Amino acid sequence: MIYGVMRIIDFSHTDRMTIAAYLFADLNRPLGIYAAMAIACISAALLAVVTERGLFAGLRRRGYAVMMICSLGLSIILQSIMAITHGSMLRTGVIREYPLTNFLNLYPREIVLLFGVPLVILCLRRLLHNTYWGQSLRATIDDYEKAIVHRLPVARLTMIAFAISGILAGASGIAIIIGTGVYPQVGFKYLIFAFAACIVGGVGNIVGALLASLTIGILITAAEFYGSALAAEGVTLLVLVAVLVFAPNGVFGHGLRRI
Amino acid sequence: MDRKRLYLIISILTIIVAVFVVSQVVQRQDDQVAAPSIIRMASLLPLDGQVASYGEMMRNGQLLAVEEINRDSMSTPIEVTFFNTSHMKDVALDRLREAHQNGYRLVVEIFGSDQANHCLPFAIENGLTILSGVDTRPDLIRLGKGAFYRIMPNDAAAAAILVQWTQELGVENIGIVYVNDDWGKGLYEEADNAARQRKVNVAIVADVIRHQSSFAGTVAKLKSNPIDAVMLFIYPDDGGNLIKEIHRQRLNTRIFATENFTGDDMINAAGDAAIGVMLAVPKPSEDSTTLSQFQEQYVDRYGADPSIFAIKGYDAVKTLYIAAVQSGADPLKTRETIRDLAIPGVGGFISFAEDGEFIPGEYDRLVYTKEGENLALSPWTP
Repeated sequence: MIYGVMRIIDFSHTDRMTIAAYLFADLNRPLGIYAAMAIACISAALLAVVTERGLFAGLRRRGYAVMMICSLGLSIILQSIMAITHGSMLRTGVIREYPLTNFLNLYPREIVLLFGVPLVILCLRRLLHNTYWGQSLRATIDDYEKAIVHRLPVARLTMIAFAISGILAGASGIAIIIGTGVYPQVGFKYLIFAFAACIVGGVGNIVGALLASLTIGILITAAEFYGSALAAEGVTLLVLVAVLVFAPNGVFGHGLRRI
Repeated sequence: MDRKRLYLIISILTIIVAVFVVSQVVQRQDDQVAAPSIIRMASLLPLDGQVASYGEMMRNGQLLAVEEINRDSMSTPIEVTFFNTSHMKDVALDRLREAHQNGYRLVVEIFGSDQANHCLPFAIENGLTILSGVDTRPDLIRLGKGAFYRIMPNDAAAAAILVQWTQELGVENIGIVYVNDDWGKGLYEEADNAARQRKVNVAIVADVIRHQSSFAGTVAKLKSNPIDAVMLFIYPDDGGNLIKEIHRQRLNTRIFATENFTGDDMINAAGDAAIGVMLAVPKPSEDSTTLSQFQEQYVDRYGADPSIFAIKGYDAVKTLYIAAVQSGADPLKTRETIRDLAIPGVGGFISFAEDGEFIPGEYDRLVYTKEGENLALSPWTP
């Protein structure tokens, strides 16, 4: 969504994910799991909106290259702040998880994600297709200049896009810190995978991105099993390059747009 | 120009040159007289990047040692300056050159065997003396040609201890998981050698990367071969996540690891899945008050239990300091003095063989058990 409205990769997006993860870890014990989750997600959304309003809105006129460089700079600043405040160690053990033996040894977190993610995708699709704001946002993503001409509230729509992405980033951060833990620079790794999923799935295609993410995860695990962990991430990116060469619009680029 | 003015200019220039020459001579004399007034050491640690946390732990331990020495007004004061290597070989060499340019001749740590190896030619050429608390690559002593020392058993010793243990337990097939960097690869190679010598079959080997996001594939790989035990040569936080996955996939096997699995990192990630994990750990100081005093100080100062890195950082500063004081801070004399040292450290007794290699003491065999709500290390019993 950010790429759609801004036409740039926001390098600081996954750092907001990491910030939400640390917030959740810090607030979990004093406030409880649900309050900590809510605060983490809302904080990530607020940070996203502040970033858009405070940084990108003013830079739009200067061009995409300037916005991307600034987003990269912001990412480094955020990582440095996290390293200073939380150290560089992997932060784990926020919640002790136990596999549910009756459910394929899945963790409760994984079961929530298994059912929650498709639900969120469906809700997001509904929002984008069946509401005024959603349709306006899609129009802005499709053609920003035309949206301005048609007097759509593009500034507000951009804020909404950032806010939604912030909430989703927050939820991702919480899932990651419970699962394998986070460290200040973890965002960059996930940014690459997220971008790869968007490219492979087709830019602007939410369901395609979901399917591509699953594919990438399976590819990485398979590469670790059959080969070397060192090559696993490289293999995934090789697939990305191949897709870009043979199907620049993504595997599901236009085909699944109507799903 | 008239002669008077010419003579005046020549006189002024002569006075300036004379003052300069005299000041240089006086400074050299001062330097000679004041040689051991302060022991200056450089410490090359990774303070950013993926192993920055270990660099920080070492620095914490070293700082405690510095403060302790400097509190004693009767001792020669010590100054340790930290240089960030970002865990990169070329950066480490640049930092060593920088330290050398700034007058440092004693180096208490170049973190990372690869990094230390890369710096050895420069150290040898320029008469530096390096003492490491963590570099374990077996050939560093030989390659160091007297310039490099360490107070940690090398990989060969650690791996041999683990393989011997598995053999005593009747284990026939083992799996090895190692982190794909110089440290992990070194331990894996030595364990592989030791296993072959003791006729223990290494049935499966899997590598992992630092901060790997999922270990599902790695554990599935281990499960694909029948193994009685798995040896983990990985960092403790990743190790905790791996052990959690082993537990989840119900891979029923003994788990062995080295002393870096002591401390909270592994337990925080693995939780109760860490119960039963077996560690071979160098025996700590026999003087239990030394270790407990150090632990108290460390907890007071940093609010966390000291890891092996902090302990080795502390011991490395103390060891190099003692050698430097005894040899008047002469880096070349310090090398000979180090070889003759036999002192108790927090992490165990410190002494060196004739070739300069650290003599590993005995190892404790420990296992994680549940004590009330917490996990703790207990002596392993057959």
